[in-house]
Amino acid sequence: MTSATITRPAVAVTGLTKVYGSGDTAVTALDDVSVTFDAGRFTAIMGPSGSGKSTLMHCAAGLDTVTAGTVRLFDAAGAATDLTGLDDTSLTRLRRTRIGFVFQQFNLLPTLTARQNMLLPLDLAGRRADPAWEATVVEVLGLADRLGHTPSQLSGGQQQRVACARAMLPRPDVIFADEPTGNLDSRAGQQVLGFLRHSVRELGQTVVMVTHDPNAAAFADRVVLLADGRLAGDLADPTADSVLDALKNLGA
Amino acid sequence: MLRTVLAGLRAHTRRMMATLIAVVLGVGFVAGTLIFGDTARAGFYDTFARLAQNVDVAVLAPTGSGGQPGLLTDAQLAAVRAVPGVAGADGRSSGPLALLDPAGRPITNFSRVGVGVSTDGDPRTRPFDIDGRVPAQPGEAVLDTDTASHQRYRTGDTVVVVDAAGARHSYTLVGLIDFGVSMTYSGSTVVGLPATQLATLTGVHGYDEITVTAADGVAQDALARQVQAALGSGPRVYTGDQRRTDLADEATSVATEFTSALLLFGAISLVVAAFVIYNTFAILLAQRIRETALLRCLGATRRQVFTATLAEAALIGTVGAAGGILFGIGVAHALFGLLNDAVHANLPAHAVVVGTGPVLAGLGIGLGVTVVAALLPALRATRTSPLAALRVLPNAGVTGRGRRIVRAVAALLAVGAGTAVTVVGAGMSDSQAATFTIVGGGVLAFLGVLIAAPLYIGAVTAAVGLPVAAALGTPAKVAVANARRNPGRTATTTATLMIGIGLIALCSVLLGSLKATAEDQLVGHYPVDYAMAGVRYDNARQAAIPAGFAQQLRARPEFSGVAQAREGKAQLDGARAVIAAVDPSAYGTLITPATATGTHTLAAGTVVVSSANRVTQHLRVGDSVTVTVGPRTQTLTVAGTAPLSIPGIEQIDALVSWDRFTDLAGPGDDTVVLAKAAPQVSAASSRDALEQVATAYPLMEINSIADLTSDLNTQINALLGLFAGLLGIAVLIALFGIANTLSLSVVERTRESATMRAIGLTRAQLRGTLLIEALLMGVVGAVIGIGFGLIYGPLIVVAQFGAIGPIVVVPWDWLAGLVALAAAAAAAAAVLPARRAAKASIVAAMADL
Repeated sequence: MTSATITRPAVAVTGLTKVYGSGDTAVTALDDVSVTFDAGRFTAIMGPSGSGKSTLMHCAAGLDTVTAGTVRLFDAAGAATDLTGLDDTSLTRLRRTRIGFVFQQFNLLPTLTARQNMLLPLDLAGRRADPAWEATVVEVLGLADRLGHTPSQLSGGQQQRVACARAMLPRPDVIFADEPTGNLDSRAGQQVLGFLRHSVRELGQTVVMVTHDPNAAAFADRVVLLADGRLAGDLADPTADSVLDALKNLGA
Repeated sequence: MLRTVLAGLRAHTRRMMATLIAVVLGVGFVAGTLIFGDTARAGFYDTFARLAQNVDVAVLAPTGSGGQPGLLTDAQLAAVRAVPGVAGADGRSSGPLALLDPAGRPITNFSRVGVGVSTDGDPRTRPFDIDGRVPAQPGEAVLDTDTASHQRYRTGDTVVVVDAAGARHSYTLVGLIDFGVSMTYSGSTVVGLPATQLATLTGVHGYDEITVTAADGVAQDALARQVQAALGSGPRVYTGDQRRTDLADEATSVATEFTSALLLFGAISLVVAAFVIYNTFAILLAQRIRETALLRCLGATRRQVFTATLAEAALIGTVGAAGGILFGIGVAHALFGLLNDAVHANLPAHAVVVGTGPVLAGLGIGLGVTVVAALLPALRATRTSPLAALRVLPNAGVTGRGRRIVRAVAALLAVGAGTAVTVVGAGMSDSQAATFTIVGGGVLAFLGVLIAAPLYIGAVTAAVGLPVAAALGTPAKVAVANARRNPGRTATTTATLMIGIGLIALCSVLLGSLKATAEDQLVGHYPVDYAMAGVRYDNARQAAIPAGFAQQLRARPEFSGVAQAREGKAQLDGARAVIAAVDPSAYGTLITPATATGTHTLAAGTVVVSSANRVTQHLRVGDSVTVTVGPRTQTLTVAGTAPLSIPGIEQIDALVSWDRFTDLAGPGDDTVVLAKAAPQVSAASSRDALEQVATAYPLMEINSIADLTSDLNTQINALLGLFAGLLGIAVLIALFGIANTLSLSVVERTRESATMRAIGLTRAQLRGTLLIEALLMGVVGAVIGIGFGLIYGPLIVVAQFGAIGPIVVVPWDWLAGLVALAAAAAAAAAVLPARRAAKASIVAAMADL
């Protein structure tokens, strides 16, 4: 299960440029960024506020359009799909099963139970969850006795774990997590990060996480640093300290 | 604080738009009705005042015996002319006078013949305008413009009138006269002739009214006193001004009748608008809870929060009311068209009058309703704790158990009381009181249904929605969940539709049953094709049909059956009643009453009494009843009871044998003759045969049952259209309410929608979710409203017409259409909010907190 044997890309971003607005008010959020996120790896994207890390994630996940460049998503067999060439409906269909999301605000639907929330992407795709896989995910996340609860009956940590389950159940090619611990206390945050790492190491998932917290980034296999819309560094097997150092250098 | 309010309104103009429209529509209807009332009144005033134009003193005939107006004599006219200070005096006479159409049949209005009026006298005091001249020589006449245009008569044409004895007289038209919309002659033909000729034709000798002009310098009231002195008591003397005021008052009462009926519909629209306003504020303030809490953190007192919310409501109310008044002017216009078309109200055309009254009322109502509707949400807002600003987003509101119990108890009380009142009403024998009581009970029970709505709306929505969701998949499931998540909000939104659709359903059941019952009365009992009746001169007098007509008709091969019927006033056990008899050749064959008890067969000493009418309701088979006609009295035994009705005779209390009738009333002509066409004879040839025979009988109306039925259909449909139109405004407001709730929900669910989009809901599916949610609200509102209409419609029909054995009809096709319409309209209301929701960029929506 080690990722060192073969590396295969999950998402490859090439020459990505994103400009908001036009004319005098144009703001370049990403400036010719090229980066590849390997399958079966846990990558963190870091950078100061306004560095473009969220924009990079949004573009890579097909949530936002790009000004220039390509975003390719690879399936398990290595076949690439260029997200920038897809229309909205095709992108949406693709997101159902090939991309998972974990958000800072959990973003569960308050009208649905935990289990209904977990199954929503598969429901939308008109597919059933693999029972064995669902059992594994529920067990790993410790949600077995919470499945019938609505989000308002769950703690923040539990809600985020439901969100993780929702992202994992379709076995997507990649899971994007946007500040997944931003709204959690440190203990619940640790749990969620531990689970994300577990899902990569033990279950073979691919996770790309945006965070500004060096402690969170330390759970990842690799940290990609952004500053002013450009790539500004790349750390393998980061620790909280090494990340902090790298960030300090960015500021300098 | 005011600045905060204004800034808030500016920022949320769009969110307030639907509320504003609700206020505009609600106020517009009421203001429009009031403006309409003023305008109609002004129109009536103008045309009524014309009846006394340039008159200084008016003398009206004293009321005669038996409620019939008396007449003024030539001697009295001479006495008036002799009063010093009188410059001139003219008598106005009038009497019923049958005018024939170009085909030679009498022109009638509700079976009544037209009138003849005298045209001589001072041209300045004529009650009409004239195009041409008044008749000057024998053989000349004038005709009212309405009849002339309907019958295509023009000046120079020859018209034929029939005198009371049945003789025809021809006249050349020398002018057309216009009475405006004087209700006195409304719908009737009016032939103008010199007074002497008119008297010969109508047999009416004398004047209804004497109009007097004063000499220069003579005051009206002094002259009126002198005229009264000259005439003694009896004749009623008025000054011209007084007379014009009286006429105008009469006009006002006509207009007021219309206005008060319409105001009821206006009130319904306002109630619906109030629901929409309440909902808007409830939702907005719930969404703004952080904002409000922040204001409280920064030091705003509860009172300031309350005042700010009310100020906001007041501003919307004022702006909406102003718009509503403008809209009302259009409504007033439309009402004229609607009423004149649908119910032939004959409203006079008049430039729209916008008085201060309706404007102030509109502003007051708009302001009042909006502020009152916002009161509860505003109070709730004051309870916001400053800490709420710091809390994480509140989830879908879960109402406390305690409040639910209070709600359930209140609803149960209202429904219970309403049901009790309804049951009491249903047991009442007086149909009028029963109807009012049932309506009262219905209002109470409906109130209970509305109060309880948040408790059951979720379950009903699920019941309607889940089968749909099962078929349509996940987006529909989400829609059902969304529709259920906020029961209070959904309940208020659908309540508006319940009211509008419920009332339309009620009306359609009422009118449908009325139609079926009337048709049944018309054709169900007696299989005849034609009903001939003598024309009516006034309430008391009706032309008879000589017995020869029925005999001639029987000789024609086109008819397989002919029945003669006589009708007369009588007293049953001393109470006023109408008795009738059918000739023996037809009784029991062509005409057979459907007896409720006993037998229809009549022997010499028996009578069949109406099972429906009040006079005879208490009589049972075997009872004795005395029948008095004039000086003759007989005691008869009740042989049977039946709902008695014969086409052409409005109300029959008792049926006696043909011979018994002759014994009591003496030999006489027929009141109605009924004819059934022979099999295989076409409608056209039976009609031709009938008209040939009828040529000799000009004072007789020919009604084909088929025509009557289709007339009835047209009338009922027009009424249904009218009610649907009037209630339509309430439904329209309800739809704006749906659009409003949805667009506010869309704002509230921005993040949720974005999440759904991110994890795989396509734009089309997101739009679909909202459309389905609206569709659900529409269907649920319509279904509950219709359910209510289905309970109370039949109850009211039975209470109102129980006596005549009404047929309760549920117009399922109409109701199904109504549900489909409500669903479609609700979905249409969701189009804009849905588009806005789908257009939002996922990333931007996520960032928006």
